[in-house]
Amino acid sequence: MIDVDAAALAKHVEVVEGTALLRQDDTVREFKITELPSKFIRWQLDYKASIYDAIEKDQYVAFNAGHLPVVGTWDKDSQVPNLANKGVGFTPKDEYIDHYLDLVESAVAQIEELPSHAVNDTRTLRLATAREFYAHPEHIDWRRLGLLEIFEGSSYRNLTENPLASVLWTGTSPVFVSFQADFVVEIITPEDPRYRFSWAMRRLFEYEPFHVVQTLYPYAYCFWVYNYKDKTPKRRYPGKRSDNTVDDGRGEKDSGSE
Amino acid sequence: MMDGGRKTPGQNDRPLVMVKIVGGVSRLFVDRSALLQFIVQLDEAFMRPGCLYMIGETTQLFEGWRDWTDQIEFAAQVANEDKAGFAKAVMAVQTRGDVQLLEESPADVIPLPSGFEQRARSVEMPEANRGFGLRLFHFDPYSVAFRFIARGDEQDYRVVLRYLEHGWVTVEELNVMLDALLPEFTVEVIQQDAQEFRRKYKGLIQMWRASPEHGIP
Repeated sequence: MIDVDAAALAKHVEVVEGTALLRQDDTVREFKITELPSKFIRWQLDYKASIYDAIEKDQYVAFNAGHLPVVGTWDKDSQVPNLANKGVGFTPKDEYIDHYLDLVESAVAQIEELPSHAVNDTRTLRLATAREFYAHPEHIDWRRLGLLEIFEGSSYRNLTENPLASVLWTGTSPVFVSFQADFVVEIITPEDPRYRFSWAMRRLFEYEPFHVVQTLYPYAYCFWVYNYKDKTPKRRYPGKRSDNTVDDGRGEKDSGSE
Repeated sequence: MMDGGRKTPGQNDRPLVMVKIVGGVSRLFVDRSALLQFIVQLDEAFMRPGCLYMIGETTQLFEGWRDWTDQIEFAAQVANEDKAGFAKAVMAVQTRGDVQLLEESPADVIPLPSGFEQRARSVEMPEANRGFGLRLFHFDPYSVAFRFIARGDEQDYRVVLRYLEHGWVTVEELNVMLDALLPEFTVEVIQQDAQEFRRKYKGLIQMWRASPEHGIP
């Protein structure tokens, strides 16, 4: 584990009443925290439901696009960002976190009574636990993500220096859902309920074939959303609209061009 | 049904009722009990005969195929003299509940396949334990499928796949209807771009064939 002062790192970012305060180089920058858009949330919920269905049927999960976006981080002097696919999840709102922490940690305690290879024996419990959380989207804090740090590599080094990140999700054909969101990153330590929740959710599916088994998670991250953009591709038509693109908003195709 | 499926779809001037609630995600989701409450309250507020058609995820929520949706989507057929009263009833019910509503017939967007009226599915709601002035239906699933493919958001494909899983539509029938329908699409309306529709439709069929539930050769 890299020798860093985690408590000091955690103080770099503080969220107060919907605003993230980033302290860097004797300055404080403010970021207004926002909730991810409903279209993205719908995609996430549907995608997770489809993954849980596949796990239930013990089907091959080729990729988990909702869970494994590309995460970009950079230090202040770098010419290019570091890009890495990382597992991301969501955490309950603060007022619900004790309830769901108890739910998920209890399930983890039960499955740990069995050998780790007994995945078929615990699948029902594990799926029911995860589905219970995502069955209540109103209990989820859609302003933040939870990520577990494993390797303490480039992303980690960048985030300790410059706790900002961008994340790009890309879905599959034929829609190719694509969203970018930008974040202020809080580094959190193992006693934090958000770390514990992210760890326990990961633990539910640690031994499924789509995960590389890990045992060490020195830190976790809370990614706070301050900006997002829907980048899902649409057909472009010649026309007079300001963005020269179309959506499905009952509009007619413009026939002429400037 | 509605203003006539063959009338310049996508270009009529019928007002779109879309009531959006300002607030967080906690108000975005509708479960089955909220849907049933909406139907009962709408019928009580309207107190006139007519037909109420559930559409897409609203149908699938009613049927218990899913646990929630993010808006109640429906279309209605009422007498001309009752249209203002119906709109008023919708608004009255909406203000009582924290749900999003979308009143939009597939006929507003695309031409509908022939026979869509006959393929509407009558719905019983014994839980309400009361008579209804509004008769309840699920809108023709083939029409809904074509309209949703035309929009082509991720959740739209999932709605159509779920119709396929439950046997409410079949690929064979979709193909037959589409052959008759696509020539009626007009280049004047974005949602009826036949080239883009074919791409989306092919994508849907590939998704269906890749799914373990598919039943086609």
